[in-house]
Amino acid sequence: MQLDITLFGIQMPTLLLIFVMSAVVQILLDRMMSDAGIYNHVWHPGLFRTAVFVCLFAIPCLLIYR
Amino acid sequence: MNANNRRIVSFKIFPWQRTLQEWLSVDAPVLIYMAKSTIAALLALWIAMTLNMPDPRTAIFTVFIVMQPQSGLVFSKSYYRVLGTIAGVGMSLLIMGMFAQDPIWFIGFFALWIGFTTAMGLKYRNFQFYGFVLAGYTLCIVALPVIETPLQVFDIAVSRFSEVIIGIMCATVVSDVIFPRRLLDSLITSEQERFHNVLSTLSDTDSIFAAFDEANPTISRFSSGVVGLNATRVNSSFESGAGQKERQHYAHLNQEYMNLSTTFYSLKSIVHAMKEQERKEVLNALESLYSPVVSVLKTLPDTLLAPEDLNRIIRELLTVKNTIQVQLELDHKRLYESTHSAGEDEFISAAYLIIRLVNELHNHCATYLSLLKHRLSGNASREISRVIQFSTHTDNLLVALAALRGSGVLLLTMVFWLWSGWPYATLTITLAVVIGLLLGTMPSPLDGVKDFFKGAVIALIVAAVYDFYIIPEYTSDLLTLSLLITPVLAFIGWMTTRPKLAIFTFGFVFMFMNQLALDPYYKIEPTKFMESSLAALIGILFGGLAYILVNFWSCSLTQKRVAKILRTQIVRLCDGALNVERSALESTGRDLIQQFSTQGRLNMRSSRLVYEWLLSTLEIGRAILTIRRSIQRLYSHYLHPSVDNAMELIKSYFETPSVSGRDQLLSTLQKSLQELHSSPMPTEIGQRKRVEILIVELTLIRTVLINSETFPLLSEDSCN
Amino acid sequence: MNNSKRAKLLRFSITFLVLSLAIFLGLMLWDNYMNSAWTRDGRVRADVVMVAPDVGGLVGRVAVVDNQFVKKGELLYQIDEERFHHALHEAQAIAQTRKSEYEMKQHQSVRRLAADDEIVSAESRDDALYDAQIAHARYEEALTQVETQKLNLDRSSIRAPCDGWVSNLLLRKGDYVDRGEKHMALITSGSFWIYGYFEEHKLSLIHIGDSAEMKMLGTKYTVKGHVESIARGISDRDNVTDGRLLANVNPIFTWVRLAQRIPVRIHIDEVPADLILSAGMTCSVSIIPTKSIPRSALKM
Repeated sequence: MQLDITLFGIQMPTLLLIFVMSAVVQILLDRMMSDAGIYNHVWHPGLFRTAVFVCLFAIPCLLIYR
Repeated sequence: MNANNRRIVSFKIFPWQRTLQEWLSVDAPVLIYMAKSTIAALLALWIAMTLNMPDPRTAIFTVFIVMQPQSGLVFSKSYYRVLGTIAGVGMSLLIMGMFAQDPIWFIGFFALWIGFTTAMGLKYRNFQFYGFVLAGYTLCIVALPVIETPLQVFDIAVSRFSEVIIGIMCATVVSDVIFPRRLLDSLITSEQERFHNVLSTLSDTDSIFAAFDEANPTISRFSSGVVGLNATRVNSSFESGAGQKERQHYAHLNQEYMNLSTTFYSLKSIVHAMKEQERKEVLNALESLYSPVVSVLKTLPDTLLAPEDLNRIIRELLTVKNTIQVQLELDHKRLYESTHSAGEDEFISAAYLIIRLVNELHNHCATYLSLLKHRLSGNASREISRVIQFSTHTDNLLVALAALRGSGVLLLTMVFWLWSGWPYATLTITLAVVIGLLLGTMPSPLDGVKDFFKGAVIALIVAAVYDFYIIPEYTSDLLTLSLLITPVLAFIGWMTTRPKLAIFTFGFVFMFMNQLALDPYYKIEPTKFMESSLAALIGILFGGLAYILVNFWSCSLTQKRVAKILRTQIVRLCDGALNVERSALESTGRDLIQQFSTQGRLNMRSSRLVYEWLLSTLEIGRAILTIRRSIQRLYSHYLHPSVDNAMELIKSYFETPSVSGRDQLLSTLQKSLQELHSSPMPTEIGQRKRVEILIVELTLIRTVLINSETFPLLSEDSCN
Repeated sequence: MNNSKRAKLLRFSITFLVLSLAIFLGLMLWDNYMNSAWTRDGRVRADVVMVAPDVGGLVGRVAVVDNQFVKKGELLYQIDEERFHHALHEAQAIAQTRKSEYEMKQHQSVRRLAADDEIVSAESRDDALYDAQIAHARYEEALTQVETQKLNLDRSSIRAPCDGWVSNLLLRKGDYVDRGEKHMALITSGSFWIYGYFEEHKLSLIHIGDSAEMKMLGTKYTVKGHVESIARGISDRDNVTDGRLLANVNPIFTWVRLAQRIPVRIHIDEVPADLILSAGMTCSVSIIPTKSIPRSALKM
């Protein structure tokens, strides 16, 4: 897989792009989960949220690094 | 209840548990916060150093900037910090790309940008303001050091951005994961407090029917916290677990609270007027009208409200409303049996206000109950569909002055830089800009500058001890470095929990992080240290100078300015669009007053006065809107030219207030009221109601005008 | 009571499930990122022959253009030959003189050898013989001079020493070139290789013979290759020898020890048909290990 991508002629690690994208996804997901009241059913919302973000970030990265 | 009892029992068994309880609620949060901020800072330092960032101090500095006891505040501040940094970095790239070779353009554009960010910072509230501050001073940090080598600007920009991101990630994760404290919890606490406050104030007959008292804090107690609570609500949207619905509830509660306080004030001023005319009979009648409300509210327990209690109250309030209506008819007949007399209108409008008060109280209770239910079981009893916008008002003059100050201080320091040719003068510029941007919204910026200076000097001393003694002597790797700076970091954490030390702490953190040897490798030279410290201190002085030079605000000027804005608001309501929401009116006014009372150095007496003006304006504005709406729907043959005439007069009076205008307006109002009374009432129910509304609202305006002697005439100078 | 307990258990278990998943994935990612043998710091390199003339003189003609491919032996540029022609003629004339001289001496010597002792003394006979030998040697010398001048003439046209590309051609007609002065770079065709600069802790993951993939910066091309060798030394940046040959150790120290980068030479096996490879191009290099990674060799 591609470890580097080129945006506007600047080479950057794909990780950076994934990071930004997963942050966006996380924000949307957070809004949804919060409105759906999922956070009421977890023990430690902060920890849960961080864990979800790590998963969101790690899965596409692992697909790249395999 | 049960749990409470058990706790009390256990206190008896273990007396020291009370101490423990107190320690847990007062001291433990501070200790936890200190630990949290220290951990976050060290984590940021470690990550930044491991990733070989050129300037790890930015990451650790960011942590202390965004760190707050409640997670919601951290998220919100971080969000705006990221946005501000992006804007600042982008602008640096732009400005360096375009004007790096051309000093005039460079400085001009720079000054424009700083002025713009200062202005926008003032225009927006809370942490949005902070975002703009950052956008301004990031430009200094990124663009100035590379002015000689413009090609490096891209590297610096990227690394600066990465460092900020590292700091923010550390702060947010640590504050959300380790013993998180949620903003919503504090929001519900203050909402609870406010609600109880409302109930206890309204359950006391004296709070309305006792005389105005200079020392009586009822009004100011009733006024506080509208703007602040709104800010908390906005910031809490970044937290987990706060549904859209809950936040809407808070918005509505805030709105209803504002309405309640306006009505309360109007009622009180009418009662005050009656007291002065010594109309015992009418007053007694009003008091007896109000007494059912008191008896209902008195039944409430002093402890936390349960939904069942509230439910009962709401039901009872509904019946009370009807009894008051019936009672009013009776009283009206009894007091003014046959003929129309002068006091009748005032009685009717006061009674009308009581009914309105009960109505609003009923709404407020219902919303509060709905919130309670939502929190307890997740199903709100009240469907809240309308989204309430908290409108803000910003005075353009204030903004323009701030922009002038921001640009001015930049130009001044730029001149200093060019004139001296001192390489460290860039630090002077940065500090001056930071001071200019950051303290612009403080109540007394000069004191702020002093605090900042003190903090900076102490930080320099501490940093010097670290740089020249502790670090070279005792550290060998990152671990020992972290261990040795931990006490200072914890101390900074402690200082941030003291609101009084806020600016001092900021100065301390800024200078300490700037001067501590936190580069990827240890390289501290005494001359460099001394020179950069001197440059920074000069920068602070320049910033303070700007506040001395560009500051035309005096107490009376502020009063005049506020009065003018309030007047124009009323004038606008007289002939502007009719679709103004009452909520917009209320929130704008309150935001305005909040802004002026922090900016415009008012003393106690005048700030209370200004608050009264605000409430008068709100009442008159609301009445004008209602009258205009009624006129629109009234059949033309019921319309009286005198009403239109009165409206015209109101408008012209508020455009150019004068004593003669006031007398004329009052007599015209009186005349049109008499005319309305003397002409036959429409038989149709809807039309009749509208005419009645006209009478009530006109009377209200008249009463408010009679009572507010200082507004809009400014006859009293409360500043001395 | 039972219900609420179950709900509590559910709350805990959801959080811990997601948390442990996150920890697991995070560790995996860290492991892969820190310990996978790849670097963004790779460079295409090539053998460069620096062409210099064997004789000095004015450049009379440049026969190639910039970036032209030349075959071995093809003319690159021509140094003005006139001087060499003259020198050759001179040498040839000298050789002619020497030849005649030699022939004369030879003739003399033969004549004197044939005469008897009374007419020619033994001494003068010997002298004649030696004179003839000397004249022969001088003739030989002159002949060699001719050969040298011929070579000079020949060398005044500079030819490609191997197949390759003319690079960065700055030489123009009329330039004066000295003998041995480098004026033209020739990138040898087929000599391209790649240097990947790998952090030192990743070296244990790389073995000679491992296949490698190179991603060229900003393109979709992938070049394939294998590890040819690993550099056995880089200089110590903290210890630069000073003018008196003493160590000059850096007085500052870093808080975090950063890994140095060691060059790994990669042989190119396969280049996409439409990719033009140039020396100096940047690429990211990832090594695909053929052997299993010895975990114990890694520091986590």
